[in-house]
Amino acid sequence: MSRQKARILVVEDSRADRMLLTALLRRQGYSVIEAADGPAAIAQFEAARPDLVLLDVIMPGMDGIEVARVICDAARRRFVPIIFLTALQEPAALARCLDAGGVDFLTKPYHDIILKAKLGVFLRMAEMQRQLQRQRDEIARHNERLLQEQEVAKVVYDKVAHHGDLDLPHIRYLQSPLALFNGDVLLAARGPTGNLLVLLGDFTGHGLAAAIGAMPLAQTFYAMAEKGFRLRDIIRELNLKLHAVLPPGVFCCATAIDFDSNESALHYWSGGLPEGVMYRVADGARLRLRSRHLPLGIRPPEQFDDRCERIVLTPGDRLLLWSDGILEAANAAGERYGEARLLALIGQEAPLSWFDALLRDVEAFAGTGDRGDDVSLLEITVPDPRELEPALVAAARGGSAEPQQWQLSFTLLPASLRSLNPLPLLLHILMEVPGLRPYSSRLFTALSELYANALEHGLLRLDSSLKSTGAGFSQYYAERDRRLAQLEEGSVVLQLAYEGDCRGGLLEVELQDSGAGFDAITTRHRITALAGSTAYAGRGIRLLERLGFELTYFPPGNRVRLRFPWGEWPAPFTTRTESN
Amino acid sequence: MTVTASWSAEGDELTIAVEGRFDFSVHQAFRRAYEEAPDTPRSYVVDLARATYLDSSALGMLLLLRDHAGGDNADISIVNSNEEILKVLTVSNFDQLFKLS
Amino acid sequence: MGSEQPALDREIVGELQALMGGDFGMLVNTFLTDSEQRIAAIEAALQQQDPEALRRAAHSFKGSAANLGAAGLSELCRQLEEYGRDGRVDAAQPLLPALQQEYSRARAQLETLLAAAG
Repeated sequence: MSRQKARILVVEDSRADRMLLTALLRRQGYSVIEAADGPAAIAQFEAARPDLVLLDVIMPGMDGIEVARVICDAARRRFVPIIFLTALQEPAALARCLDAGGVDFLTKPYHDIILKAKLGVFLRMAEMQRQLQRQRDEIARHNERLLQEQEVAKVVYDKVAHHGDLDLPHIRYLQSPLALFNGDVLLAARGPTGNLLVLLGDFTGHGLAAAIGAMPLAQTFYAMAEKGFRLRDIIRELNLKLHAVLPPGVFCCATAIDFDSNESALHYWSGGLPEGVMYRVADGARLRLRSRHLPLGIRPPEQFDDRCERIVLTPGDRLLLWSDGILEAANAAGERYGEARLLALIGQEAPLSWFDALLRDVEAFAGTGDRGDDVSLLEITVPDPRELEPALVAAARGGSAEPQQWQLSFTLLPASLRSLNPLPLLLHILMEVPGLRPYSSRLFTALSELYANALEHGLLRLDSSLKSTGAGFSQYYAERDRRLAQLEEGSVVLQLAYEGDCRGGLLEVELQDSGAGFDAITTRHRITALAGSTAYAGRGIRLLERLGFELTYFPPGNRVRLRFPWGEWPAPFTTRTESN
Repeated sequence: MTVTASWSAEGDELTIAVEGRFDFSVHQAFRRAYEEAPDTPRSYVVDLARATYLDSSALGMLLLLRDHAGGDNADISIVNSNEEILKVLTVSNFDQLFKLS
Repeated sequence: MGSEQPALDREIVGELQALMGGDFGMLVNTFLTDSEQRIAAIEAALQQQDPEALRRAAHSFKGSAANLGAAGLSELCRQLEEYGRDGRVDAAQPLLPALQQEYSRARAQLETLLAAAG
């Protein structure tokens, strides 16, 4: 037993008493170090590091009380019990001994059994103290390591889940530095058509476990947004990834929004996150972004519901999203801020000051102390679409000086038409041409429009006039999904042809569907569209013309050619329409 | 105890009652309530009459219970929720996975 | 005086012999040397009317005497220590002969024991 090997320092000026005590201790199995006076005791204490000290009080020169003080200082955090050897009886003198750091007394004559009992108690106590100290040190080390790991995780996370396009002028956000470790994620990315995708997520749980799911989420989100995937595809993929990666019971409440400036509408998907608020300039209404879905990561892919809601936008519309951290800010009485207070505030305040007013109000409620760690707040003002355009021109002037000349033909058959969105792939190919990169947004818009026309009107024979009302819009897409699922025959052929060099070039895109053409089926709507009426269905085509594309329709209307010259390319172009 | 488990007289339904804050602090007790049940009940009831608050980790615990009880075949009712708790459950659309009342 | 209690507690001395074994003689000799120094210190303190010196010397002697089982000697030291603490050197004076006598008795017994042990 370690106690039996404990080292005892005996400090006693009387030689006979010291001899006796040493003999007693050795017989009890302790190892003994002796000192005849104070200075010797201090030197031995440092050199031999005893586990316990037996200390005479009255000694010539430096007395026991002084020695005890020095020893206690030297021991620092180490607990070394000091038992005073004394025949003193006066309470005041005994109290001074305890003050100086003594834990008990032994009186002469020494009694074997009492000595044994007292040493046993205090050595055990010292051992417990050491154990406690070791545990405390261990916990401190653990904690330090944890903090370090969090820091590393944060650096990695910041690289993967960077804030993307959150710094756009019409976005305002607040995310506390530690929000990540509360499981909050805030992402924003502009897609190639100039659309803006935003996601606010909140993983269950806290700490690293909550933060870890954010990485696949962010990576997938940014990769897909960049390639031009739209909200439904992205949200479905996010759910699939998280369902595969996260253990049961861990999931991500999220609201994701796709702002489409071409369509002047937003699409949103919301599952489990507090329902955000939108202020609509047109009628002054305050709408809630309804959470209609289970959070991401719960449903297996085949049961996942990726349906999105759509809201028509006007520039100046304003949207506010938050995670539940802000609702959980508590005041001194332990009361939480809660949604009722937040909604009341938003009801009173002008939309322009929502963001600041909310932060002020929460702070006034909870005090600065509690709020800091756990806030994600996002505000988006719908910009005028004209303000969004400029980013495109800045890019790629460089690139290969080698001229390029190539053609590509791509045929989609029913199985692929049902499940594959070919546009990101095609755009990817086009972006291999450096000169076209600044135009990725408008090219993607053009390809989307033409492909949607070919598929929805050409093959599925949908009537686009349905889309003229909000309700009809949903109905249109429901019908589209139904017919697409049943599609058994038909094809869409896409042909790309490009020639050019570093100064300019010409892109030609041709799409042909196997449908009967609009002459036979939806003539009325196609013609209104081409005639540039204000009907909703015509918007797409007019948009393309505005963007500088030259469109040619070939009879019976199931084949369209788009030409896009850029830079200094010999052939000047005009916009014209041929229906025959 | 903030989490208590009790059986119906017929012995085919396990009721788990949570008292106070239903959050991460009770996750051990909540799991024990159904994992240490001597029998497999046909249905479960989570009684929140005396629960004051529910957070997202509680939602996770409910999902774990659902998993334990057979996933899509689980029969779990969440009863006696106060208004705020019901709000959290419905915003998360847990009515698609549990019977809420 | 011969009819009084023995100067040493036989039981304690027996325990000491058992504890110290071959070192018992050294312990006794050390005690005797130290004791004579302490008696000399007590005499000096009484002569010089120094109560603090009296108190200290008596205190140390008291403890050692108790350890060796010399209860009577230890008790006399306790009284001297108290007078010293109270500054009553004059009152302590008459105890000196008794102290010397009690010490002589204890020494005689210890020496007998040593002689017997051989």
